Amino acid sequence: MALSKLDKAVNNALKILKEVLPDQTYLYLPLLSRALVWGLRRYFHRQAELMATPVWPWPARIKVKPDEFILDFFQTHSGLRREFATELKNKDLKSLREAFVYLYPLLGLNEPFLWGLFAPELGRQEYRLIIRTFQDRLDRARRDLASVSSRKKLISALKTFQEDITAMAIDLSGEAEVRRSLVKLLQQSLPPPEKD
Amino acid sequence: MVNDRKLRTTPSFKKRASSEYFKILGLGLVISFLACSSPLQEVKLYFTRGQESLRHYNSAQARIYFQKTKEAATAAIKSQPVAQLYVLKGLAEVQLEEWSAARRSFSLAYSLGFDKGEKWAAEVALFGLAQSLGELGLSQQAGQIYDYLVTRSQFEPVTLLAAQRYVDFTLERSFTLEEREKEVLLRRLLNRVRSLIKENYHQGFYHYLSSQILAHQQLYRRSFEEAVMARELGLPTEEIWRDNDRQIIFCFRQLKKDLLKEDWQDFLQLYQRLITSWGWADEETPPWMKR
Repeated sequence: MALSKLDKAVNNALKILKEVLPDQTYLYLPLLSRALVWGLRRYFHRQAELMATPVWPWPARIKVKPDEFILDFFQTHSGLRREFATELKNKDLKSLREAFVYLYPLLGLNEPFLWGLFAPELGRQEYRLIIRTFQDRLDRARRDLASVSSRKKLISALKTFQEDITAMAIDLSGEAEVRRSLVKLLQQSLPPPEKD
Repeated sequence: MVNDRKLRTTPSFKKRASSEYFKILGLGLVISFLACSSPLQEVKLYFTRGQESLRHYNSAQARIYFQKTKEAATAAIKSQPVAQLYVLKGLAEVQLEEWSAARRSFSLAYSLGFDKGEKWAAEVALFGLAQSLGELGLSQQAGQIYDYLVTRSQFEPVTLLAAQRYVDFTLERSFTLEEREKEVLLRRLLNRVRSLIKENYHQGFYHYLSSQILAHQQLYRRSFEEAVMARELGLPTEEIWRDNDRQIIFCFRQLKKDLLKEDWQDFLQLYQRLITSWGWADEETPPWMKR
């Protein structure tokens, strides 16, 4: 992967993001992460969606997954297995199901916006903190995106970023690697994230 | 004898060819002018593009085209109120989930001679009603309407949406039942989805729903097969696609625990062939999954 090209694409996008969302640096990673996935999958049409619905609208089906599916989800993820050891031991399906509704889109489906929004907590494996703050953080992101100073500029920046990613011809299996590079580049270019 | 290549280089051929070229070009221009100038053609074009976008999972782009279909049809109806325009307008409104507007369009199409319009209008109105009831917390009543539409609707967009809601609603209900009642309910639900598959075998989404129900019945081999079918036939959105991949992995793990050694080896061979053709990194890592 041409890291310098990614570096350039991130810096170009950052210039606009800093201009239109100067105080909401926490949104840079979710937005770029999502544009990255769409870029890799050549979803050029979805930039409007980046603004309208920041996260995938997950179906009611997630709430009605079978117990075995939920247990498997927690048992086969090393971090979750450790964090929810008591619930797993007691087969506390009620608590696990409640946690699943928040954690499955994030860790099961790798929803790119949520992944970016909770990247610090995911890095520190603070899964319960994610559940506690999930709704507030998402509501705040929605509010901030709705009141962006120049929607047109933001969409244009994300579209360009998407096109740059596509032009790099990264293999789809490189998604995780590019995401890691993205985090690294943002960490270098931005001040440490604010605490909630 | 003059060969074909030489013939093509003679001045008279060039002249004739040039004249034919301009005739064809002219005809093409006239056709495209007519197509562009006919409001009905314009509406059809937008609608076809919307459908095309849906087939490529471009839901946002599809939405834009359906919105354009609706606007163009509304404008065209003012000068040319024909049934076809109302049908296209109604179909676009269904895609935009504007149920009462769609009902009105189909009713007007019916009054102008489109026979199916009356039935479609009634089904769309019912779906809209079920959705409202669900939002009001009257899920039992909403479920009954979805059940009716899944069984009786002849209008595919409504059948598809109703099937999705009906499966979600019934699975949720199954949690409140005793084991035996739950089994009966799930069997009935599966039969309902199976009859949809029989009529629309190409529709990957119905196979996905079937796979989800089979997992509730702990029939993992069949659930796996339906999820594979869904993957091969295509699914409407990226998130459902990923959920379906998760289902495949879940079934793989369950079968690893459940199958006898020999059966497991056979299954594993099949699984390896499939994931190689899909380009997965290993048994539990599709390309999109973070490692």
